Amino acid sequence: MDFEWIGDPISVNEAVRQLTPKPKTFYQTCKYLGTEYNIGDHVLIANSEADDPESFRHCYVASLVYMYEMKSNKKDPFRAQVQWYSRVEQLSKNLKKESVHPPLDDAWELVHEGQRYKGDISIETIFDKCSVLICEENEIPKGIGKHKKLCTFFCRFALGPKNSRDLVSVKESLAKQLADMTAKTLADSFSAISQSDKEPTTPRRKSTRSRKMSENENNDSALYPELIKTPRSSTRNRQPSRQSDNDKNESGIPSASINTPRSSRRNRQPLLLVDNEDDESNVPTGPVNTPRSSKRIKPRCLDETLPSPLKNSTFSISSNKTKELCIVIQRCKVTPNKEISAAELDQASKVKARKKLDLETPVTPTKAVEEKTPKKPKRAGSATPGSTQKKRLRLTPAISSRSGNVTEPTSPLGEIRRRLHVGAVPQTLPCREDEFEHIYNYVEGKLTDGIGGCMYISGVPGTGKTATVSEVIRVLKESQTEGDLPDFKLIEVNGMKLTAPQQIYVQIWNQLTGSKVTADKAAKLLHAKFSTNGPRHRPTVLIVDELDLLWTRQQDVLYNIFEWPNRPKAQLTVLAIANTMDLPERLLMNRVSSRMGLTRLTFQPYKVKQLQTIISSRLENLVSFEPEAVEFIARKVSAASGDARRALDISRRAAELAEKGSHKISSPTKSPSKRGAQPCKSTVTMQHVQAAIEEMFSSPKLLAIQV
Amino acid sequence: MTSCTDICRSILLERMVFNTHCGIAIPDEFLEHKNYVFNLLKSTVVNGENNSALLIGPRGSGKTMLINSVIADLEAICDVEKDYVVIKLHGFFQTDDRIAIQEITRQLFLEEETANRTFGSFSENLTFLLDSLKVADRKATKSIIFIMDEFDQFCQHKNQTLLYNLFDVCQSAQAPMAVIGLTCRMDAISLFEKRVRSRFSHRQIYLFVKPDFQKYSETFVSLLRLQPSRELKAIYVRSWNKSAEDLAQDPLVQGSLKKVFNLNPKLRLLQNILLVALSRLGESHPFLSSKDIVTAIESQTTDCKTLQLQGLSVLELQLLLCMKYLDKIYFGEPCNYEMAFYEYTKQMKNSSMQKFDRQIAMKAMEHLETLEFIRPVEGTSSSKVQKEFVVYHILITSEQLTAAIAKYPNLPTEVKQLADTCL
Repeated sequence: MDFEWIGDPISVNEAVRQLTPKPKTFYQTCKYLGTEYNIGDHVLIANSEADDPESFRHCYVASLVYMYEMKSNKKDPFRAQVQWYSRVEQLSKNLKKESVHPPLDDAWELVHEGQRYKGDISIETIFDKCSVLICEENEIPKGIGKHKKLCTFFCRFALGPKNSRDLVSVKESLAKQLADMTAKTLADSFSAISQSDKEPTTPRRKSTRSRKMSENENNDSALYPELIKTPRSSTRNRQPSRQSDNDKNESGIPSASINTPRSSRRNRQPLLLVDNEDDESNVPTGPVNTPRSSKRIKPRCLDETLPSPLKNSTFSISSNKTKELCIVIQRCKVTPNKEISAAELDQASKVKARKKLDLETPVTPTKAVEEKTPKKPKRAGSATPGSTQKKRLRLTPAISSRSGNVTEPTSPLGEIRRRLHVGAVPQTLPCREDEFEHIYNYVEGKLTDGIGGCMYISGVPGTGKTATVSEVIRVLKESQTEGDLPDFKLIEVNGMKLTAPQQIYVQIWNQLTGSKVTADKAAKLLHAKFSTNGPRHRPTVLIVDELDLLWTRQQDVLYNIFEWPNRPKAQLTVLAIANTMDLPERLLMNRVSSRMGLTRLTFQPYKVKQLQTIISSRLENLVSFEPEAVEFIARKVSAASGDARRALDISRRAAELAEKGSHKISSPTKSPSKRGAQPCKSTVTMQHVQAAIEEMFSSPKLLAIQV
Repeated sequence: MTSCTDICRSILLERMVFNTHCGIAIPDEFLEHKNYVFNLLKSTVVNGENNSALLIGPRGSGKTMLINSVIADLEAICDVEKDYVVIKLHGFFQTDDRIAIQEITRQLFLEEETANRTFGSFSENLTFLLDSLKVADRKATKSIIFIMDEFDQFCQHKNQTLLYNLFDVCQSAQAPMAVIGLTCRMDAISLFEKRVRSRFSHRQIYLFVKPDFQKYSETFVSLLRLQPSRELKAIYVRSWNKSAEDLAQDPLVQGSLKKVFNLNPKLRLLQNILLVALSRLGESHPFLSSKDIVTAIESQTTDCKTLQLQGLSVLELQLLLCMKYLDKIYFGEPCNYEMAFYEYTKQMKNSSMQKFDRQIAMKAMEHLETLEFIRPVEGTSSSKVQKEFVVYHILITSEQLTAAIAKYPNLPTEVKQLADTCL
């Protein structure tokens, strides 16, 4: 295991410690696979849901807030608390993205997540560093993209408070956050002061640190002579890690800049760059601890030049350096009316500096720089056309639109016909209240408990299985937007809409992530997804319609579908719909039906009364249907199949016949005097229903013989 | 300068080949059905309703004609280009869902839209199509009319995926569309799987025609009737129509037509006959004669088996006659080579004709089998039984034999006499 902590444990304030009851040891710096990670760094985290978890296009981005070791967790003791950033494509659909100008950049823009996801991850999922530029709402900074293996993202917005659909400026939100935090910690600060004084002095550094690191450190201290002289940095108890040291310097700038001449800072930039270049050229030849480290060390340097305010804010809390805390608090006190924290000012100046750096690079006399800089735009340019081309090839499914408008039927019977259409979506689902309640409670329970399970729903065709389930989902979505339920992902698959049972993997994966892979690959990825509790895991609800068509000789598809919910980390709820009641006993192997469990729900065919209610609920207050006629239809259908679709079809046909009949009567005598008689003509009577039923239930052979 | 005869000929030939004659009125008993289908499609196009229906009728009963005339009427009231798309599928062309879905995509989306998109796998195509239908808005998109000929063939597809999906779109509020199936299977609905059946609206329209010779001969005249136009002089048209009516009254023609009608009352055959007859028209032969019709009927109704029989050797014919005779006296029981050869030698005992050996007769028998005049009885595996004792069914009728013998050139009189006794 290529992991070690650097430096001694640090203490954090009580609130953080209380996040989980188990004992934890917090650290400032760690080294994993040859790369050092400090608190406040921006890191790339493997996305276990993507086909290539470690590609910079699919991975997650976050910044480290705390790192700790939890001895009680044997498998995975090294944990970190992170603050997530979202990519544009990971954002929820109902956000108002269009209002943003300039538009969101799909490739390199990030959105600050706030507190939407739990930030607790295993450090092992981190695989690289990156840098994130925090910018103003309307600016898109230069230098984003991937340069020299370092990904630079930028972030303009943060998600608003919970359930809000707006994007807010990231700077404002961070300032707010910082203010909140400092206000919270204000009370603790005094107790913290007394505590920290008792803390033993930590040894300066471990010998395992690379030469490069110390060199960098030296450079830094050389760069900031005036800062080192500040009373703060010369305190006896230096931070165990260099990063905090750096942070201290940076956060010190605004306060210290009163006596720092501006020119000195400008002078610093080229120097810094040279320093970076030095670092990079050193890497291959320099002492490398692990073979992989050469790849991972590089990004560090640029990152250090681009700190985020978050770094500072987290630092201000995690640090046990009471004096620093006091300074932060003071700063906040000084500039409360401006609503900009000192950290922000700092950041702004840094971004400016960064810009300058970009401008100045071609002028710098260093050869290495001249060689490397022209490549940057090229690389960035070549990446974008490829992605756009790919998009163009994928045709968006659509049907050409019509020119003329659809006219709604005007006659009362036309309106009836529209309402009686099987496809017309009713306001409520009558006669399925119990089933609705059952399914709703089941799914809601699973979602709130954060566990998985599966339910088998059966019933003959036309008994409202799919309709009830989609109604449940609709209500669940509603209560989710109201905030009563955790966010969940819905996946709908229909066995009939697949060409082969294995295609279900492709469909599920596609709906889960939006990417297309082959069936085998999708199966593997889904296995991985449902067996690990990856970062940013959301509960999933999977609806499988026409389940019996997924039957294969090996039954591997069905096995997998029912196996996943039983895994402890999957948080998957499966609603399986089929039209055979005894499918598990008849078709499925024991090991499959055992996994399916015993939660079953059978939809009984509709009874006479229920069919009557369904038809009359669709008619609502339109009285042009004779009640006897409705009852006749209900009786006829419930005797045959209990299929609601049939009942609706018959009543619709009867309405059509009635309309035709009324036309026939009215058209020869189209005098205005007869107009008044029309409404009473256009009621659907027993005769029409009789004719419609005869038409639909007649045997073709009998008719053929009669002819 | 093309003469009137040439113009007339080209008009009529086109009519026979492309079946474009609107003069054949839809029978009165179908008018109601036509209105029904028309209203159904109209409500799909105008109101954006989803409908499905099945037209059931025996072959040649006018299903396609009815649907074509409905679509023609629809074109008159709605704008094809803007308001709706007609997608025609045929059960014998789109033999599986993969092809059918490709065809739908091709007809549904404009060519240029799909040009740069290579057709991916079947499942991709299906999801693509379903997504397109799903996102379609009832009020904003074109209505789609599916006309599925030989509808029963689509029921044979695996899982009936296509039918399920089409009917599922029909019964849920997705893209506005109508599915009209044409089939000659009476039990088409029972071919559906139960979930497909539940989604189908159960609108069935039965088209049954009573065969009526009076109408048949009327159709014969109306197929030939010309309308006066710019190119055709009225005098010519009048004389041509008169000749056509006379032709229909001709007893020779009527007799032949009656025969054809009893054999096969479909209009398609009549058109084929007229096609042959009309192609003989020319400068020197301006009007159709009864002889033209009769020869055309003969050419169209000749049996290929009869023609094949005329090419057999005398020995083979004799063997066939013997087998037919045995078939007759044993009431359709199959016979083997030995029986046939014994019968042959019995007949040849006191004949002056050349007698053949067993081996030669055996060879002749095998030849008959390869020409499929006789067929070994199923169930008896030929490997176990000796060649001489394999039992055969005879596959030609005595009428075919008689006709062939009557036309056989230079047939020995003895064989003719034998044929008379045998048949």
